[in-house]
This record gives sequence, structure tokens and C-alpha cells, in this order.
Amino acid sequence: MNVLEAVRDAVHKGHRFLLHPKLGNLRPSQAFFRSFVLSARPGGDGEPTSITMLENALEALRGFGPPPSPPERVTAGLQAIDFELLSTGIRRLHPSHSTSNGRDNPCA
Amino acid sequence: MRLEVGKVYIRDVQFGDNTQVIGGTLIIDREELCRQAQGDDNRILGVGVELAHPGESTRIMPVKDVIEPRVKVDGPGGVFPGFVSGVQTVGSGRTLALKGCAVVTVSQIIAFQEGIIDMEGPGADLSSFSKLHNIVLLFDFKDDIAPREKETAVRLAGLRAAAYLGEAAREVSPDEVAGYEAPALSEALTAFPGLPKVAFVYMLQSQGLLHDTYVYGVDAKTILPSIISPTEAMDGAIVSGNCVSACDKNTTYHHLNNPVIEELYERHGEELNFVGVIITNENVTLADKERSSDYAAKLVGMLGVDGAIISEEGFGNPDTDLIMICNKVEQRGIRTVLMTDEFAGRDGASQSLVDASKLADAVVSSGNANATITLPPMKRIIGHIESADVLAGGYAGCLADDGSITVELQAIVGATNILGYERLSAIGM
Repeated sequence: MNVLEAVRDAVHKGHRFLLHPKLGNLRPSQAFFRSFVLSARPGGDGEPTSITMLENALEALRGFGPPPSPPERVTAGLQAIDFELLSTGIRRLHPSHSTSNGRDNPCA
Repeated sequence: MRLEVGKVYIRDVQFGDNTQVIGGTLIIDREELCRQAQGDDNRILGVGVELAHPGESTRIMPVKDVIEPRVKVDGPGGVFPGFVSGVQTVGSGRTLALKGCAVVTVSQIIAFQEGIIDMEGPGADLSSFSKLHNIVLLFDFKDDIAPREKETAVRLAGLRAAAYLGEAAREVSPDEVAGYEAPALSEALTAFPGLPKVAFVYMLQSQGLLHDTYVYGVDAKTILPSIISPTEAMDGAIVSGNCVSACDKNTTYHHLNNPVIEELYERHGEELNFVGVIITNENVTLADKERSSDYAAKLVGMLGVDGAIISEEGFGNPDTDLIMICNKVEQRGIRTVLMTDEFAGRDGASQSLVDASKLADAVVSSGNANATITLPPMKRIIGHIESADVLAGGYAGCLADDGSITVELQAIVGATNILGYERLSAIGM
């Protein structure tokens, strides 16, 4: 929640989401790792779509509480999923900046 | 296009010397099945196979995919185009389906994975796969195979296995044959004057590893929304690479046996005119969400239908795709019905979706994935026992002293399937 709230503050300052704030289908209690991609520069007043999206995500999460710390052997897998989903999004944003060797670049 | 689906009813599955269908029993050459599943994939050291029959005290986990064996006996192309078969357009001719059994792939792509099929008990009541004779594939990988590579290898092996087993029915006379017409749009749109014209918008999960779907072998995240014949889905044109979360992911079996498509055909010409299917994806970038929802709504508008049924796959950010499509279709004056499951907290009282719209006023729920259930201990576990330990270790469930596990429905394969394959729903309050 602290990460989400920091992201919310950035969005209210005008940064906008480039990826949806709720990536993946792990349940909230399992999403121990969360990554966000925001615009590098604020675009002025808070961008309505991003604010609405984030407030909806926060509202949906409030009922679940903070996720418990995962067992150590689970941590790497959760990180891998978070990284993969983030990488997928970044490749879609910038097809020339593949995080792999480019062979699986969906836009190639 | 016209597709005939011949149903070969399988009432038992046993191992034997040669793979064949005799008198409703699928006999499997175990070693040959393992060889066929592995193919020439050198990422895999070996494939094992176990059988799980309905009513047994058996738990299968973690499940990656469930696939119905099929074989195309007439018409262009072959099953699972783009993977097992070439890339020819399918959906016409005749295809035989081995009903009553399924290939189930089990693998630990990452350390923590859910995906339970219980063959008896209360968990069995939540997944129709408990009623099938399941041919479970297990995998042994080389060291240092990345999760993405493992997922690909398991997916391809499952499809190869299902195609191999489907071949056993090639010369078998089906017990039942169902015919499905998919005429040209010019004919479809004028076929039944006076009946409402309906399209089905079929959302496909496409966020990335363990959240992907493929159409003719193409990663769905790279497609623009497209019109597809409903019969193409029946021939395996749509394949699952999505296993998170277990409850509401569409397995390949669900794509092959899509209940929405079946019901629309059932009512076609009587209550409605089922005009066609539009597939669309569920992406992670907001630009892709805008593009795909715009395009899907445009296609719905181009079809000139009166209403559209829109099914989501998964939850969370795909809720945004669902609502975007709903809004854009409704704004064209076309009515929508949305299909989704809910993540409403264990008490069912929390906000169910992460997005909403006043225009989304007709929604069919396939149940609350956060509802909990206690699964009794099973005598046999097929798969990874350590997954059961983690699942029950308090992180995602609770293991009782007697060995029973309390988990959310989210952990059970297909429990809240949004296409309506199961029977869970919601009561309005």
C-alpha cells in the first residue's frame, strides 16, 4: 500500500500511468512485488484517467490488507512474474528497447 | 464454413501396449505418449504420465493447462494450428473430440503456483475436470531452464500429447455428431429478420508469462481485435498459455468447448441471431487497452448487431479492458452483457472489480474467487507436493492438523470460469 500511495501522490502531481497499476492476476495477498511505470515528466495537473485508475485499484486492495511475506523459495518466482509482466509492458511501450535479445519482441 | 464435431465418448482410460480407442476405452502406450509429448524438445529431460479417474482420492497440482484430445479427419488444416499443425485456417470439415478425458499438464514454472483439481470431495464439485479421466503429464527439466522456456515447453508438450491421443480416434465412428454453421456475414446478418442480432466479444488474457493466449500460434498481445468464426475455436485455433489465476483462466479445454458459443448456437434462429465472434486481448499498457477496446467496439459496430456479450478472462487490470469495451459499445447504441467473476473479499462485501461504469448495467457473475473452501486431505497427490506445502503454509492457505487445506476458490482450476463452464454465480443484495 505504501508504494501505491507514493504512486498516487506522483499521479496527483501530474505523472501518468503508462502501464495499468494492477498487472497480473495474482491475488492481492500474493502480489508481494509491484512495479509501476509512470511518465518521466508530469503533464500538468493530475491526469484524470490515471487518478481514477489508481483510486479504483486502491479501493479494490483496501479490503485485503498488506500481503504477507512469502516463503523464501517463493520470492524468486514472484519476482520473476513481476519482472516478466513489467518487461512485456516496456517492450510494448518501446519496441526498440527489448529487455531480452529481441527475438520475442512482439512488435518486430 | 460448416464444422461437424464428432463426439467419441471415452468412459475409461488405461495403459496398454498400443494407443487406441476400443469400446469407449482409451488405451495408452505410456512410453510412446511420453515420447510424443517430449518430441525433440531438449529442454525436457523426461516426461512422466499418471492417470486420475473421477471419484479417486487424488489431488492434481499445480495444473498448467487442460486440453481435450481432438483430431481433424476432414477439412483444411489440423488441430492446434500454429503449434501442432500448420497454420491453415481451420473451423470447417469434421473434427473428432475424445469426450470424457483430458490431457492435464502439471509443472512448477515458478515456485509458488496454485491450480488444484481434486478428483473427489468438495473441491471436485467446483471443477468439471474432476469428472474427466485425466491423463496427467509431469516434466523433468534440465537445470537452469528459465521460467519462460519451461512454460513454452510444457505448453507445446501438452498440445502434442493431446494431438497424439486424438489420432487414436481417427478411424472411430463417433457416438454423436453436432453440426455448426458459420455463414458469410452477408447471409448471417439477414438470416432471421425480427430476431436480435448478437455478437460475442471474447477477451483473451495476454499480459505476459503465465498470462498469455495464442491464436493460430500468434501471441494474442500482438493482435488487433479480429473477427473469428466460432468454429475456429472448436478446432483449437485459440490455445491457452494462461494459468494465473487458476479459477478464472480459460484452459485450452475451455476454448475448445466454449459454453458461450455453445449456448449462442443453441438459441440461434430461435431467440437470437448469433452473428459472429470478435476476439480481443487484455494488455498492460494503457495505449494498448485504448487501441484494442476502440478496435473491438468498432468491429461490433461494423457488424451492426443489436447486442454484444463480452466475456473477460482473469481479473484486475482486465476489468479496465472490459469496462472500456462496454462503454464504447454502449456509446454506439448497442446493448452489452458483461461476463466476469468477482474478487469481492472473503466476505463478498468488497468492490468486485477495479473499474466500473454506469453503462455496465447487465453483468453475469461467475462467482467470488475470494470465497474460501476447506479441501479434505487426499490419499494421492499428482504433481508437486512442495506446492501443497507452500499453498498450505499460511501464505495462500491454511493447513490443518488433519491435512485438510483451507484456500480461496482462486486456487481451484476453473472454479469461477467466466465463460460459464461451472455453476457458481452471485446473489444480488
